[in-house]
Amino acid sequence: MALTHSRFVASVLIVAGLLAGAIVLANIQPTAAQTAPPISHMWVLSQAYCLPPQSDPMVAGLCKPQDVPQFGEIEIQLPGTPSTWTVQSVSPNLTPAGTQKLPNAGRITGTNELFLFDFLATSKGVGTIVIREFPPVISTSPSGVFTFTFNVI
Amino acid sequence: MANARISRIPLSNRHLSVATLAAAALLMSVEYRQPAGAQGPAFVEPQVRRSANGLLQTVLEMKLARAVVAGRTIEVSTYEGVVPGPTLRIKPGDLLKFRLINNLTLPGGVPPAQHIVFAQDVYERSMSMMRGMAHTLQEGHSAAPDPQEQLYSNIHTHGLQVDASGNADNPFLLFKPGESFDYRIQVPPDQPAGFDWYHPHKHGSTAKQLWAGMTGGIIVEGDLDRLPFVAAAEEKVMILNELWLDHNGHVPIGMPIPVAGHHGHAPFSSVPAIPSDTYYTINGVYQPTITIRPGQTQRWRIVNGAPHRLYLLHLDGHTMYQIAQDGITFAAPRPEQTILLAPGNRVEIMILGGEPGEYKFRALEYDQGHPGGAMPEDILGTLVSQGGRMRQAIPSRLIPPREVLGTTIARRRTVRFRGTTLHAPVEFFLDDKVFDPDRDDQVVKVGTTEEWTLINEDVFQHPFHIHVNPFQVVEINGNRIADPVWWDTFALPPKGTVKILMHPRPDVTCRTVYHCHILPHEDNGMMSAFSLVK
Repeated sequence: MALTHSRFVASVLIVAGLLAGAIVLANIQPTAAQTAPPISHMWVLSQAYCLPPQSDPMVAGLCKPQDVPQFGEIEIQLPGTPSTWTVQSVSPNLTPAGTQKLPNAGRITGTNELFLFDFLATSKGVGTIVIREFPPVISTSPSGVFTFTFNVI
Repeated sequence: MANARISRIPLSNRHLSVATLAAAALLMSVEYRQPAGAQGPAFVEPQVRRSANGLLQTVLEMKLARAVVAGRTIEVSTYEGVVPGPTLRIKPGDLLKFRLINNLTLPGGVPPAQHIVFAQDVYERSMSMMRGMAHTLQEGHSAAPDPQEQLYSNIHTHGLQVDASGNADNPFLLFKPGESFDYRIQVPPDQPAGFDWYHPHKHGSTAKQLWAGMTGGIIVEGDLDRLPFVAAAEEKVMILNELWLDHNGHVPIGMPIPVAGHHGHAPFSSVPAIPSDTYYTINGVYQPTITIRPGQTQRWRIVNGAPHRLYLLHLDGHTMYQIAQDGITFAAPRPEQTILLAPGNRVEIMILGGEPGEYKFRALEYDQGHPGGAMPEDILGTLVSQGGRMRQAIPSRLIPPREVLGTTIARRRTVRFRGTTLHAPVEFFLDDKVFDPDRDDQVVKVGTTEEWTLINEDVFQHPFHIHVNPFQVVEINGNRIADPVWWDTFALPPKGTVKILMHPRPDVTCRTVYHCHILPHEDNGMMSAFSLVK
């Protein structure tokens, strides 16, 4: 019995020691992991997609098409203020997910802020987002319209 | 049984002892490792290659390689398979000979067959190719550049006051994958002791290659290192990289466009777009832990190897005693709480280990004119002060640099910086012109003093860099600088004007370049060729 008890105590101590170490390590490892930045899942487009030489040479304001996977996040960034950008239409497979403005003074001539439009590519297929600038400052189409085309795959 | 009993009782005691020791050792090791484990991986020094008997002869192979950064496996273009490349330690007067082997491939590509190209052949061929690419850019035909061109490369020894022709520090050369070239760079005997660096300089692909971390340090050993308080300080090389990575851990292959990098996205997207992130690393390690003892001095040699980010450096709880700028020593240390490090800049600082504890090494929030406002603060690493106290000190005097230039000015010039990020590719100009390798925008007489007025018409801060010769900044936005120092790269203030003096060394005549060291700007036109003549 004494032998068994000693081995039992020794085993318990070994396990306890390992557990104590593991608990301390477990408390450390997540901290290290927390320092890593999140991985982005956002497809970011700008006015450059809708201006030469990226835009359709035959149709002013028709932006360079972009592939996006289903459930991909899309953000369109457009310089404005005092002109404003307004979403005119969105295909059903692209769901609006919010808007935001950021300071952008002096970056693009004639503008002071950056308009951000977020969308989620909810279902597969081709979809478009039509955004209008009023009054037109950087858009080259007379109507001030940029048409973004996405192929959700 | 009795024997068995006797033998087993000590065994239990051994178990007990082993268990106790194991638990104690585990806990002690955990306690010992806690600062590093809690804050990130340990700081690592780049590999070192040192000259001997006046010669450093080596090989720099450019190749795709894998590494782990912040727990992610990445696959990027490297020198010698590591980020950053090896540190080259030389002395004034040394001969630097190395074979540059371009084995770069796109991810998934096949390694090219190798052959050597020779100096007599390569200059005209390089000029012809560069001319073609520059003209394509000028004519706005760059909607879909050939991805293979991103693998063309060469090398620049930034900070070395050396010849820029032939097979020396020649920015007009370029090498395709599969080609090797033998560089031969004679370092002058009066090259200042300090911290310089090397990186690719092929117009059009420089930014992409630095976003991969293709950089390496050059340490010129000399008088500064022999000062007792400096010699006693533990030295650390810190190459700051800005790794731009897509989901596959590759530098995005598309054409870069600047965007607001809020909520974690990189401050650049591409055409076509792909999600991407930026990692600010020190010697290829994300947020490393640097250790120091209380009262210990350390000498940090820091280079901004990022193609785009300006770092406003700050070390919590410590004064940074700056002892050199851009490879040239100060007459005395300058105590600083923040230091602005533009792409291309180097600083050497000394620090004195503070009370035991953890201190963050930060790039503070800073507005460099990028879309969407200021670049957010980033933690670069953690300094852990621990262990026995030391009693070291910061020196009060250093080495007086070459004297401040006088006022006898042989020639005055003006260079204007302007650009726009409206289109893709972005367009950046010097004096309303994009880079043309055939055109000399200035002809400068060596051995004379010139005053250049640099006018930044943009909100973007353009770091002006000129090859071969350093300069002194003597006036910023109309305010004279009381105690000018030497620079080879200086960030022009937004919508601001800077006056510099330079005195090109009389023994180096060649064609070379000056440019903006925001490398997406340089790649898209903001560079000029010029000649240094007798």
